Amino acid sequence: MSTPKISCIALIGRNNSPLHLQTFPSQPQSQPPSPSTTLKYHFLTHATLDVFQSRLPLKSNGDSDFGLLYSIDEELAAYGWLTNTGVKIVVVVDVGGAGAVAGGGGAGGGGGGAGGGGGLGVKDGELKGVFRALQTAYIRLVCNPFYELGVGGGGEG
Amino acid sequence: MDVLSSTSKVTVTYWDPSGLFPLIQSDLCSRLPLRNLHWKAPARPLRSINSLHVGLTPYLSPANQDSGFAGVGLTRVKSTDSQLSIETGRGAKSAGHQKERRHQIPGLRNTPYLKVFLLRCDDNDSYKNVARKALREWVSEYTTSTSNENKQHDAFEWLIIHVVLPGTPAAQQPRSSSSASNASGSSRWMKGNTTLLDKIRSDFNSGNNKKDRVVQIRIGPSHPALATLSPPVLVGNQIVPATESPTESEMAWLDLIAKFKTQILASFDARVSQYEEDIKEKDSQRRLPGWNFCTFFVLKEGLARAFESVGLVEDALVLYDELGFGLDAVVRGQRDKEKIEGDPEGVVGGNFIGWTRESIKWIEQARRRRKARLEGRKGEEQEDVDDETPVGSEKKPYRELILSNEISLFDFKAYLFARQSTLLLRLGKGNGMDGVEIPMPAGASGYSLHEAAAVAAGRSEEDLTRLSEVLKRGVEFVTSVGRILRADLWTSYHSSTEGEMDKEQEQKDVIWIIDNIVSSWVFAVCQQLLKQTASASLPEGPNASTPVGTTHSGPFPKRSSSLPPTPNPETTSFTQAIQTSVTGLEDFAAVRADLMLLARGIVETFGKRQGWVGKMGWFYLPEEHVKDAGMVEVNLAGEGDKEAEKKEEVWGVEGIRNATLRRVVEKEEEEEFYTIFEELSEKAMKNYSIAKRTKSCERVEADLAALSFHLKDYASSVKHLEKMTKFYADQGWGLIETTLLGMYAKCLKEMNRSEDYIKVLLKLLAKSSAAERVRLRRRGVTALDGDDREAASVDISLDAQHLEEEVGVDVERIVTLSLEIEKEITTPMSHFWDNIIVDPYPRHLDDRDGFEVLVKMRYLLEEKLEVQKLRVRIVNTIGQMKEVWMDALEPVTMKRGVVKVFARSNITIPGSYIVDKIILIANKLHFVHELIAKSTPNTALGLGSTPVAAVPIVKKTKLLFYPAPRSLVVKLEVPKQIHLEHMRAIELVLDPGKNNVAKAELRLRSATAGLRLMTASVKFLEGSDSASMGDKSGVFALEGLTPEKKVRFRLPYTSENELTELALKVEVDYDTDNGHFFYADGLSVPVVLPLAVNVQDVFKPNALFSRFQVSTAIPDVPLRILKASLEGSRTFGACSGVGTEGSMVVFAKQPASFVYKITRKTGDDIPKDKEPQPLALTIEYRSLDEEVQDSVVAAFSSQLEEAGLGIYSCWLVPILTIRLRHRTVHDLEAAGLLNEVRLGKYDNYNWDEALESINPANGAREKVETWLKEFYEKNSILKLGPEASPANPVLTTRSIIIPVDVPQLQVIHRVDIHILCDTNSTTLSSPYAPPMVTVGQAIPAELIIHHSRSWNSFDAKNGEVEIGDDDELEFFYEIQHSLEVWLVSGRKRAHFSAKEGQVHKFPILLVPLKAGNLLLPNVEVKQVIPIEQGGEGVSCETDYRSNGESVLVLADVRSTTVRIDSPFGEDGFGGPAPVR
Repeated sequence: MSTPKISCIALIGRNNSPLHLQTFPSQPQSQPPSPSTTLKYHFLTHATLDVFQSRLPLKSNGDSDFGLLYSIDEELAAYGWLTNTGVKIVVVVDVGGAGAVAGGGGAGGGGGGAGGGGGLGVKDGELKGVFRALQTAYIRLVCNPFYELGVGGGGEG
Repeated sequence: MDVLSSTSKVTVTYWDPSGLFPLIQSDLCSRLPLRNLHWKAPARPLRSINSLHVGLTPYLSPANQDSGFAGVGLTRVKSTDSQLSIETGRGAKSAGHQKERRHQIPGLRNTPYLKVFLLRCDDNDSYKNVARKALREWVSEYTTSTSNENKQHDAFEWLIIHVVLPGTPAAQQPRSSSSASNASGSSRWMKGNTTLLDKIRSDFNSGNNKKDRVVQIRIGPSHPALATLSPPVLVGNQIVPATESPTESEMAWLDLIAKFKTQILASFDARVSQYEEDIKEKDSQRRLPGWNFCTFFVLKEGLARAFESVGLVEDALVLYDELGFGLDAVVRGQRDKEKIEGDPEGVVGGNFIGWTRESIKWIEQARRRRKARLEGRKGEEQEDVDDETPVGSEKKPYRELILSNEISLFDFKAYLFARQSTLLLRLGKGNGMDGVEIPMPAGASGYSLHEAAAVAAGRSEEDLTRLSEVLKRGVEFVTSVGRILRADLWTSYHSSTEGEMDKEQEQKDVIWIIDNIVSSWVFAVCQQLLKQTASASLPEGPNASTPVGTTHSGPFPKRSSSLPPTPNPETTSFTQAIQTSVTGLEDFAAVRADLMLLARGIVETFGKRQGWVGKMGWFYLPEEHVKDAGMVEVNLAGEGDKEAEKKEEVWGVEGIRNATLRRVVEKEEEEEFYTIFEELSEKAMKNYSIAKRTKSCERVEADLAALSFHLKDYASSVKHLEKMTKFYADQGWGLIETTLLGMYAKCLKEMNRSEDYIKVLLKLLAKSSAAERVRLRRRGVTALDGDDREAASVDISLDAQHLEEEVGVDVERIVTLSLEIEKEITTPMSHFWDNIIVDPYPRHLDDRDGFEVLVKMRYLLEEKLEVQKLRVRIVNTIGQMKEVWMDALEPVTMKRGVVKVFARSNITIPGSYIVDKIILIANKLHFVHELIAKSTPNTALGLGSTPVAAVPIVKKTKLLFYPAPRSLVVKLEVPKQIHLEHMRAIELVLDPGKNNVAKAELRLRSATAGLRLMTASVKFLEGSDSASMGDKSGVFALEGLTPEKKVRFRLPYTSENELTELALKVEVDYDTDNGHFFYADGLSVPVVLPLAVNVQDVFKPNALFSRFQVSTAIPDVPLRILKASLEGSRTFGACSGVGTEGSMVVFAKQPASFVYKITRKTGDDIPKDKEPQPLALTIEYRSLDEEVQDSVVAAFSSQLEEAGLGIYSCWLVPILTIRLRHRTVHDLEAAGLLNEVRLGKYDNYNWDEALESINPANGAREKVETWLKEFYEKNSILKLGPEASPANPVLTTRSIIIPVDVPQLQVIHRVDIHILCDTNSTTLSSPYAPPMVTVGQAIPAELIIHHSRSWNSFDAKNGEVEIGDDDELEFFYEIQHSLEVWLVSGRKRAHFSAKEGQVHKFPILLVPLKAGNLLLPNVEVKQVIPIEQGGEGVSCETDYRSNGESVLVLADVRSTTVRIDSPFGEDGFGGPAPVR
């Protein structure tokens, strides 16, 4: 019934300051996300930076995909991506627990040893496309000569 | 998980028909477990099993009662291990199933790996008769049948232990036949006979594999168990007890153990290969219809268990992992199929049942209970409470369920995870002890990290990586399987209530019941995992004050940019340092903390449901909540209650199956909940800090802060918050920071810490303004131009909105509050104002002195702010720091948008300034903006948190202050008339401009080294009526100055060294009708005299002729001398010749000279006895430089005035002057020669810089520029000099009065050389004058010396010898001449003594030696100074009157002398004959 949905996308700058954070309403009818929801995601994304940091030494080969950063709870899981310029992209996925997931199965891909075998909802590497698209979008933004790099995108939007 | 069932134990059964086991038991057990087994399988690398436990069990088969050896290997073996009691209970029950299905579940039996026959055979005969047969039967029984039937799943080996009892014939035998040959005589007679052992060997080692399966063990005679033996050993037979040496028996035992090892490994190897074969086969059938995953699973698990049982846990784990992925794949495949075909049947890989059986029970129970509660029935049975460990492989008969295809996905997953975690825990908890739990040291929580590590190392190595692996998997498991459970529950609910029409309420109930069930399950799993992985290395008792715990959050280096592509060497080294102490500790702690948070999340959710936490989370401020409630009460009082009721109804505690959670929820008390929440948070925090996950740590701390805030424990909340806001601010997490700051502010307010409160509020406001700034920037509003107020309040970004709603920051309140605090709070202005600009064009005020500058800024806050004061500090750019404060006249009200304020100063200090600082003062709040470069980093820091980090630093605003034409100025001038005799002085002019100065004080200070101002002897040249000396030196008081009434001082000075320029500092404090003003300036004026005068005196007896030579003192600057006059004094008169007036230009190489005749005045009125007065030489002159300047400036100013730009004159004129000074020597020379000034071109004057400080507004700057250009065009040549206008008032004509002393002279000699010649003389041509002589003709002359003392004044000066008229003094004269010109005969030098009026005459003869107009030789008269007088003589001058006389000497051509030398000698012709 409910497939995994992206509930939050965050871009974090090289110096760990947020560039952009956008939440996506889980209920379509709800108005712009309440401050507390946004705040929650702020906290969550901020905490993911730790994971980036601790995993960085393992990612010497320039691998951008950090995979599952951590499962926040039954519903939410954060996935990370690090661009070669140090910009971090965090995508929080709502794997849809609260509703009713029929079966809810899914192969946790190959991350055997490292414990990175994705949640049941999202296959490992399934988000790669999302990340690539995000990165492309970001690059496009940065390439805009009228865009003032590092300006804007403080809190929300 | 089921730690206890996880053993690496192999079973060895022994068949002991003779009851020999007790004999060997103790010896055997002491050698167990087996150590260092090495297993090499063909497909695998070499595995080492460090220790293997062996469970020795007697072979007990119900079948063996009747059929002897029948049924060997089929019996379920009971464990003797007491620890396995739980398992055995269940195991026994399931044994029945297993027997029937053994073909399908080959791997589930713990069948023996080795079977041992304990043989008692006392002698050869009994062997032949009984034992051999028994052995044969036993061996053949299983070697053939069992292995074929079961394939190799239960493969085992067998071993015969021949227990040799002491005293039996067997004991007499040597160990082997080989050794028997060497044995002593007793055995020699039995030669040919093989020993029993050999016999057995030959009989039973003959199998296809040449293994030695026979071991002989000899029992010592003293073995206590011998007595119980039946049939007893006949001790009487024993003659020679063949005692074995200890080495020998040891050898035998070693042999036995080695055999154990090899046999067990062999059977293990056989089993593994069998399993692998089976698995391969099953795997290959995967795609065939009917393939059942469960079967496959069981099969593969068998292998895993086999591995596990021999201690190869890792291999087992790998298999389980593979199974896990297999399961996922199957499930996924199933789901895909379902999606595509909508047909769950016929799915490859078998099917799982839709729900777990218990789930229905759970739901039903909860529903029942709920109903009961709603109906008010008490006493209804409580729901079951699950035990603390929901995950365990023995919780349910999972394996049976799997085999019967009756397992649900949830169960399956749970089982799999249980198995995996068991294995991992076994690995992690130290591998030696077979998973036997190590009792935690009692005081473990008190151990420090290192101690704990040491303890762990001492006992058994805790592999934290493994433990964290368990946790990692656990997190994943909990989250994913939680979802599965939920689905499971729903499915079961739906299926159980199929057909029933659900009431809506019912449906709702079920929603939360299921939710509760799932949550409590998740919580329980978390708790279980945490408990099971508790490690000594990571103490986390709630009260434990471990060093790690206490030092969290502080000492960890903050890695502000944690993810640079190149890791920071510093941090990595730090990490390694920790890691070396306990490997994997960080990871471990991190995962534990994650898990704790997970558990905490559940508790939190329940708390939320109970209404203990705001619905929106912790950070939802309760005040707001209260406000809401209040509103509800007012408007819908009735409904409010209903709502509350509803809320009560919506959620119930049913379905919570975890004891802890139940306790929390059912207590209806919040405390329990908060305690748990806090405890979990604190533990998590501690762990995070150990893991060095500072950010996560901060996050938890934020929660804690929010909790204590929620509980109104503001003090502790503040403690948390204090450092945290900074943490988030540093990295720009604005929203978080804002929220925390909001809380912080509230706390501080509650605690009445006004000062901090205000500070925080200011920070919050800064956030709000930062948001506004961003908004502006986004709209492209960066400059101050254009008022955009109407658009300002259209869209407030989220931050600000949030902020204002939450905290309700009120600017006015802050300002009012600030009155309470003691110290001023200083905040960077840039937090609330943007684009702060000081207009670089100071304006003059119309009605008073002083300046005002315009300060423009953009106020960013919504609310108005009353600023009482605005101050601008400016400092001068050159020289020592001088600062001037400019103040706004009246309080300013800041409104959002551009604010313009005039800051005004009553101070006039001409010069160039930089705006240094702007301060806004509102009560005790100071907003400071520093514009000087040093303040830049401060600004940046302060802004750190705001999204726009850099406010463009305003260019250094340079302010140029120059006095207005109307204002009071002080000028320094060189006096127009300089009297060299007087003390040197300068003139100071105070021009009050258009001010009515009631009172003023002027202070003077020297600014030149060595300069001393003689302020005491100041002279007021003008306005003396209003000026007076002050009470201190250098201070003058002025009073009642009316406009344009100048005061001019003459200020004498002395200086230690020669000055070229003199500088003064002037300060004037003055009061006018408009208030108090101040003027300060550094003035300087060149004081070096531009001209130099030399004098040459020529004395005559009656008069003195003085020649004055005037030259330029500064070589570059020509002078124009207008007049030179020498004025006589009382005693002397002076008169000049013609040409001392007019305009003479003196150049460096062309001095002017003036000669004056000075005579002594005679007459009665001349007082003889008075000191002679000096004469005064007055020279009127103009320095050409000054002349050029003056005329240009005059032209400039007058034309400027005409053009109506008079206000700029004070600014432009000095600049013009400076520019003019830069003229070269040639320019001045040219000007002097041509009497005109060529101004040059506009471009050369570099006016641009000067123009910059003229306000471009209203086109003023442009106007000035145009005018300047025009000026240069019109006045390219300016006429100079007297021609222009003789009495040009513009040109300052200076005069210098030089006192000229008439030199003292006591004696003057008038010397004449009088040529004596009569008119008759033929030798001199009388009509000619000068006399004319021929060369060589001697001229008789007379030297006449008149001695006169007419210049002698009677009062000789000091140091001179006073002489009277009658004193006789001795002199000498000397004729000085060139030897080539004159031949002087007579006394060339002679002494004489003289008195007043005496005349001495000396005859001399002069012979000219060459032709020409020859001047007479010079004569000098000097005093003969007696030696005793010591060199001091009278002053004496010689007036040599014949100085200009000459004699015309001609070659004598009238006669010539011819001389003929005769050869006859002198008297031959009687001498030369003159020829005429």
